[in-house]
Amino acid sequence: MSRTGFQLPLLPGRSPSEPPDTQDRTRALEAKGASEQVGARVRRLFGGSFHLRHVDAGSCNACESELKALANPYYDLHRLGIFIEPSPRHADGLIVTGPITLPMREPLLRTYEAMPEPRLVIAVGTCACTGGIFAGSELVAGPLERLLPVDVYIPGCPPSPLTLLHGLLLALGRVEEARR
Amino acid sequence: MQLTWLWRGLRTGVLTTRYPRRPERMPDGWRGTAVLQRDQCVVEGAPPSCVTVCLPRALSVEETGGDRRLRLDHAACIACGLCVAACPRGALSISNEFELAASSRARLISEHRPKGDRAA
Ligand code: SF4
Ligand code: SF4
Repeated sequence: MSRTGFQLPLLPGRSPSEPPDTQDRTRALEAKGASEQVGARVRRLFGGSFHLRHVDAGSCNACESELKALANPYYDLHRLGIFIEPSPRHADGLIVTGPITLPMREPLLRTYEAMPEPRLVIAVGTCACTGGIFAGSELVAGPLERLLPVDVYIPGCPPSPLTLLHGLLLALGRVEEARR
Repeated sequence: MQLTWLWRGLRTGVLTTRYPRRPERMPDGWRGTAVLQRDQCVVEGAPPSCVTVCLPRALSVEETGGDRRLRLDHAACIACGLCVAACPRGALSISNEFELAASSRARLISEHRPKGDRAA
């Protein structure tokens, strides 16, 4: 439950064609159930605040537009104690938009590795969830679940701010999951 | 100066949504995701017209043995509405449901096996 993972250097230089670090991936899968861990920790430490790092992995920026709308006075993300952080070192969760284009694959994995555990991964938008209209393209490394263990999927192209709120609160176990 | 803003604040009140403490409702016509009316869908045609028009391949036909199912992946659906126009039986519609997030892929997939398919 303590913040670990502050090792430097981040990782040795790796070419984008290599497969994702399997060791890291195993470690990540062991940290499954991170949702409950992070949820319990943020409740204990801060009475509920949750810090996110956002990585745009080749999105069309409509998803960013909706994410930005969360900060406006109507949705007011901060009233729920959820903040977007400027550094992965301070983040409990990673939000990823876009289909993971090949150049963004490496920065995405490095961001993930720089985050302290336990950490959540949230796929925002159809692109990150399944590849969307870019699925199967040879220029994308996604969908996200091929690279990282995804905890919450937020579909929509782009997902509306309320859908995003639902997803973020779902990650913290603060809302019920809808039944389909 | 400050008083102006105070009066304005008192006049307009709080506009911030109370979600999730109070449920929100999207307006009719707002596009959430495609939904299938199961009693209408017969999965006919090879492939059915909805599957042909779906750009992100959210709709697909699964075939194992003689078993034919229509698979709708809500995680891939971009709510474009092309399948709604394409379905001759009006089995597809776009719902204004917004609580779409899920913690597993399986929860976002719905499969439909038409009734009487095995008899045919
Ligand atoms: S999910 Fe849609 S809106 Fe979001 S990045 Fe992909 S194409 Fe753009
Ligand atoms: S609304 Fe568009 S993306 Fe969704 S299932 Fe229909 S055709 Fe496919």
